[in-house]
Amino acid sequence: MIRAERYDRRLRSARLAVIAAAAVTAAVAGVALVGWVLDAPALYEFGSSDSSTKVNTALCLLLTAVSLILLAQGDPAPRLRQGLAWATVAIGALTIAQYLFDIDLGIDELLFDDPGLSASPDGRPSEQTAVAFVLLGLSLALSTYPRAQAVRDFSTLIVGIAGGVALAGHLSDFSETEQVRQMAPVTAAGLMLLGSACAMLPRRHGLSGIVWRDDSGGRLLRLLLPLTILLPLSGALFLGITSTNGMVDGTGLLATLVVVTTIFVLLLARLADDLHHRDTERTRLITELDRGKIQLTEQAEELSRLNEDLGRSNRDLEQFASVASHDLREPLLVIEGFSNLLERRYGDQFDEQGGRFIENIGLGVDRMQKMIDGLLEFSRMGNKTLDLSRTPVADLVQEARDQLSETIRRSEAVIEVGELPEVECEPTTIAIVFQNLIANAIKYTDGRIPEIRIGAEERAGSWLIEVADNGVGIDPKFATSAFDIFRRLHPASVSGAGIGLSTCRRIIERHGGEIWVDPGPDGGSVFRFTLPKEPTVTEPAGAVEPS
Amino acid sequence: MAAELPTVFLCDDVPEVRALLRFGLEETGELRVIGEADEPVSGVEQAAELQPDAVILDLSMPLMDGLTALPKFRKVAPRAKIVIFSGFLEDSQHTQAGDGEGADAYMSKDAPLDRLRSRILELLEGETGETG
Repeated sequence: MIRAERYDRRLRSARLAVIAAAAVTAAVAGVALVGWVLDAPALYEFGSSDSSTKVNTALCLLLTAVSLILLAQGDPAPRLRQGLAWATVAIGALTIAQYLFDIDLGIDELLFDDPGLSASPDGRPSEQTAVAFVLLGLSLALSTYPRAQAVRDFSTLIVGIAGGVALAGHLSDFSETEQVRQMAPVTAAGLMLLGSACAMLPRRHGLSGIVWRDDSGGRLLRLLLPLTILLPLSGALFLGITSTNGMVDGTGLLATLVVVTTIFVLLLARLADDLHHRDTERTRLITELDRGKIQLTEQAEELSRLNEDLGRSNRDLEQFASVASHDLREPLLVIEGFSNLLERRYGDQFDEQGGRFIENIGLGVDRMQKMIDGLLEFSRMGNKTLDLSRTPVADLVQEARDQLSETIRRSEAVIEVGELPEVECEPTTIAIVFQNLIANAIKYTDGRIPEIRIGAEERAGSWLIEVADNGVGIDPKFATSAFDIFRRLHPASVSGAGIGLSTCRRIIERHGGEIWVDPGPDGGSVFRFTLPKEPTVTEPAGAVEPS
Repeated sequence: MAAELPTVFLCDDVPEVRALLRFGLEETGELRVIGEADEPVSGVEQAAELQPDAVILDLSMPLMDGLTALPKFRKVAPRAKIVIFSGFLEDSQHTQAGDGEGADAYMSKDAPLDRLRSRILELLEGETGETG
């Protein structure tokens, strides 16, 4: 806000300065005109009888000054402003025509008679003055056309700088400035004021659009503009003063200087404009970046909230599983204990059926016990950080076989182990995966001797490990749900808690891998799982280190 | 004859567990359960009065947990062997904590009752051996 206010204030001041410059010029021109009306040379010669301010010059100065004042005050009467400007252009153009074709159109002494002491024909503004008014008039007439901005900037600058040079020529003792001196000092001052005021009048486009901006481009231009104009000119004038022997072609040098300086100013303006666009772009990017940052923060907050929720729900689930399994165990032990007591103390009093009842209680208790054990194991899988180490998979298979040695021996299962890699994993839990898969393969058979093949295959970023069996197989429509907790796909006569595969899935997923089951080519099933070569350890969400 | 049997006091909040323990421990006629409580505060009071040879103490109970109750039992019945009977084999933390608090033995609820009984008898015999 403060920036915008400062900018507005600067524009207002600039506009006021323009009006003041134009008003001063108009006043001086008015005095000169009065001098002509009253035939009082003192009023239009301003102390320099060899270059008086001509009638038409004073008239043009007045016309352009009023036109500029109108423009600076928000252009309330565009037609009037343009009319005044075009009149100036016409006078200037006719004057140039008189010079070019060496004719007298009678406009010079149309109003008043010039006593004629100056170098130019009687009562006629100099060539430079005429050209200046054409340029200035055109600039003011075309001021509101954005496409004319380059011409306008160039013209007004030329006029302003040329006026400045002519004035400086009068002030200094520059011997080679006769041409320059043809322009009366008052005219030179007026043109300098009007040219520069017109060039600096705040506009939306072009040089003056850039120079007042509150950005680095504007600041650069405001700083360098005076130096750019003053340094070379003062240098040249100094040079002119010191070489009075006529070695230097003063007029040519100064004309070149005026043009070069103008071009230089315009190039500078372009540079500043470029800087402005970069500034704008940078501001836009920063704003976008800020917006992006805010979005990112919001998303991160949302994510962390979700993660917290997930962690809480995970902890709740684990706690539930752990508490449930403990609390379920106690009544189960009571049932088991009493049924044992019952059998021991009153077993001999039961008939055959009574004995079977007791036996069934025992079977139910066993099954429940296994489910609780599985639940406890399952809940324990999620609540600690993986303890990774580089382990040969063959060792883990061997460990599983050792654990299951009795089952394997009894079932006479044949286990074929192919070439297995070394992987980065948590050995204890991956061994449990093999143990569960091998135990399943042995459990779910059609009474055939179980045949189990274990192999591995290298993939892009992971190892694919498979455990194939010749068992009853899994219906493909249950391929996914087989890994759900307490999901049993086989009759309860086959002992199983329905937790083994969900524990496997949990272990593999915590390693960053996947597990699934495919039907075997010759019946049976093939359990496959992947282990990433470089596991990104997925921490249990919101896990708390055990205290 | 019955009066000479070593006496046991039970402290567990689950009535069926107490009933099971009572039957299980008395089954062979080597031990006698002389009292029981479903929470430690009244348990400590009764134990002070009954002066049992052994106290079987559950760890997770309402009002006061077993570990807090243990020194109180020790204080009121200094002669009694205290057996923590709680939790399950996996609860190694409890095992250590129970040992640290000076229980004479720790038995998991998984263990068969026969083992609990023989452990108590072992503890009591050790006592007789030392003193006798």
